[in-house]
Amino acid sequence: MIWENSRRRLRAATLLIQHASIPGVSTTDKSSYYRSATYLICTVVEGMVYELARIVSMPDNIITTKSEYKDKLSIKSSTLGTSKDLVIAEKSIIDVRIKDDGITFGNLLVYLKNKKVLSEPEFKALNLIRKKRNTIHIQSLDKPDTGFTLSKIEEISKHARILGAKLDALSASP
Amino acid sequence: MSKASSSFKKITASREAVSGRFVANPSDAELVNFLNKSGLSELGKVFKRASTNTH
Repeated sequence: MIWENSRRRLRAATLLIQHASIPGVSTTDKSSYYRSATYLICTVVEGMVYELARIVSMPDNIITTKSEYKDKLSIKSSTLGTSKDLVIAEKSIIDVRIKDDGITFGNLLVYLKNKKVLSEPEFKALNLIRKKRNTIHIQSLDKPDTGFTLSKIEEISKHARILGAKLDALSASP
Repeated sequence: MSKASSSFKKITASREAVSGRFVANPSDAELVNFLNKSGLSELGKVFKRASTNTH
């Protein structure tokens, strides 16, 4: 399914790039076409990262752990003269699986780096793509949403191609 | 060939030179070809792989 849906998005991205190439399209409008294409390709990259992590983490699909605290004893601040209440809690380490709430693109990248599926340079490049993908949230922007180019699209696509090759290699292995 | 027809062919050729084979409802293969001609070979490769959809 990952490849089938990737095909749809890569096709959509390519159609946008093709429209941008029509003679007379302004530089500003080209950047707008490239913005949409960039986000589409970023989602393909994220989907491939997810699929790689899913396969590598089989059968339990544990990606990370988290601490959970259950209050056992609470002491009012007035009792000991502290500024806040004091709490003694029981700490548990909980496994977090790939489909659990709270698993992020960032978690998956760290998991794959720790599993040596991604090299350090690949991790850094994919982390930049993650940050680029996050700029889809307009409220997070503190500068004009411009500067989308074909060379940046090609750089992101290179990592989609590398991830795809890793997926194929994993799928082919027994 | 009329002058108008000749001009139209020149314009069409110019559009194709800049934008690749820009047609309605292009096939995946045509789009991959456009990407490769446009210097977007990495996108072309991953799109071509996705188009084969063997998994």
